[in-house]
Amino acid sequence: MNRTIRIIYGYIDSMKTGLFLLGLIGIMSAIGSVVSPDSFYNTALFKLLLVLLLLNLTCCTSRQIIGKAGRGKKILSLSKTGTLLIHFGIILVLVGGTINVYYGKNAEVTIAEGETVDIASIMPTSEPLRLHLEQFSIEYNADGSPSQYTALLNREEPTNEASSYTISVNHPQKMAGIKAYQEGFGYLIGIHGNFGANTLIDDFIEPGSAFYLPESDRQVRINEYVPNFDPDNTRSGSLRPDNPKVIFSIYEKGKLLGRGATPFEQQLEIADGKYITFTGVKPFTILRLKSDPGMPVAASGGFMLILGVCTALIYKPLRKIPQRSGKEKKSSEAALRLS
Amino acid sequence: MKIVLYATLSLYILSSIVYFLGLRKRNPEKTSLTLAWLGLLFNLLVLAMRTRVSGRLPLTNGYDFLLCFIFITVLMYLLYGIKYPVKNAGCPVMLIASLLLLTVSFFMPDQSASSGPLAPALKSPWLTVHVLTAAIAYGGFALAAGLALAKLTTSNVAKDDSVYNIVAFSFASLSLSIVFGAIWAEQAWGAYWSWDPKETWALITWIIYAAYLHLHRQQEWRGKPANLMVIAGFIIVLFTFFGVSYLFSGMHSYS
Repeated sequence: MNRTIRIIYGYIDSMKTGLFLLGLIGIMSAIGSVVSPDSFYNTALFKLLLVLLLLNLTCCTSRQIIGKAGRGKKILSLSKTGTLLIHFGIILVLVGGTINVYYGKNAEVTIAEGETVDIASIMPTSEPLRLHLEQFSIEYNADGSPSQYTALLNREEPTNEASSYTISVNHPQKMAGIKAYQEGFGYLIGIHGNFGANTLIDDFIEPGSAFYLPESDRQVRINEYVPNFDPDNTRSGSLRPDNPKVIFSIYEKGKLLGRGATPFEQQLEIADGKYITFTGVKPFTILRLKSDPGMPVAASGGFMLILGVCTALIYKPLRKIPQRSGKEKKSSEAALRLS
Repeated sequence: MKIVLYATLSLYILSSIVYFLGLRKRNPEKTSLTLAWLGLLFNLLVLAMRTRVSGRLPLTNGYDFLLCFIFITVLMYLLYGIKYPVKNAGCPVMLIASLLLLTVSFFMPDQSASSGPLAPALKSPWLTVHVLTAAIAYGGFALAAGLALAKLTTSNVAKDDSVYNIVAFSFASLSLSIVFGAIWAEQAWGAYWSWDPKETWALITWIIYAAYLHLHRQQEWRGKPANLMVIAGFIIVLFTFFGVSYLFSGMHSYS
């Protein structure tokens, strides 16, 4: 049994095994990028390879340090420190990533302007967290393209932390033990409908929604809001509302009767005595919420990697390959086979 | 700017041709070096003009990145050649630079005109360090591939450690680029690694060169096998840039 364990350990603690695992991970990564990027990297086999690589790196790196200490050599020579830091850094990144996979939490939340969401009901937080979206705004460049998306949120319960947060792209915010990122946005479309006595619609609805007119087979579908409508191309690239319109469709008994684009506050007759008006839009923000307990470990690993690379670049001497005699070459090959 | 670009391309092609002719006649490389230096100056002029037009460093789309990549390749070759003259390596290196610039000039004309404002995700200080270190890494790998090709095809070859040293430096730069990119991805997208096609193939590139650096410690892997590996690594670099950008969709669509 001891011999078996020693043999297995010998394989794990081998640079050749490490290179083999790296090669395998490389090949599988290539396959995964083509076959099924979303699920391939979450398969048990791929995760096993990463765990084996982690074990291998840990064993090899530890052996380097322990071996040097045992031979009384200076471990901290600058030329070797860089390389060791790089390997340690990779180990920490893998450990941090593993912690995140098994203990991290990830969720998406949509909050419309003026609405409040209880974040603690969506994912675990370190304290109660109810966020109210005060305002979602888009800054525009001169050509109408978006310059920045910003969500201004207020926290509803008293806290020692900040009570308001501004989240924009590249500027996430930490709150109550989680981190929130600006991921996306959209618009709810305001609609006012007058369909006769006691029948009114006055609400904000999602694009893609549809409703039947009362006492009728006629259905209205609100397709989308287009901020800068171009009659020749409904898919305008500009998000700046230079010519805002709502695209809608009318169906009767499942058959498309017509499609149109209408500006806000223009009354539309969609059936005899039945009118709708699109009143405006209410933006909503989509936030990515994350709890990553492995992040400090991975971040330390990243920092070690940077430090290791810089140290190796500065202090590692240029490689010189000495001329060897035939006898020296054979004995060095034998030594390499044993390693 | 197009005139300057075509001048750069012409000078790189001429330099490559003169290097090739020099191979057969064993002529000194002065003419080809002069052409390469001139081409480099014009390349720098193109980059300066791009900077002036867009109001920022030329790092934000594929066109700009390739111009930087080519510039760094030739610059590294010329500077390295001052201290460690690498005879007959100019031909493959300048050929690589010429072919890349040919691609930029004739297959990416639409991107040459795009110098509009940055998308929100690109507005980060990490853009400069991430893309610059990537360009340095790619330039170094291109140079190493050119040297390795020269070693495989000619008898009068560069020093054995030259390819290793360049790969080691470029590998360090690629490692930094990946780490900086991960830091930026965490801020912009909420995940430092999401197996995006560009990330994945950058990792594959990293793995190949990591394997090369480790295997180069063993005598039997030096020489031809090592040089083939360096060339294969550069092919993966080209696929990571061109193939991934045009065949896969992902969050690196800006490049």
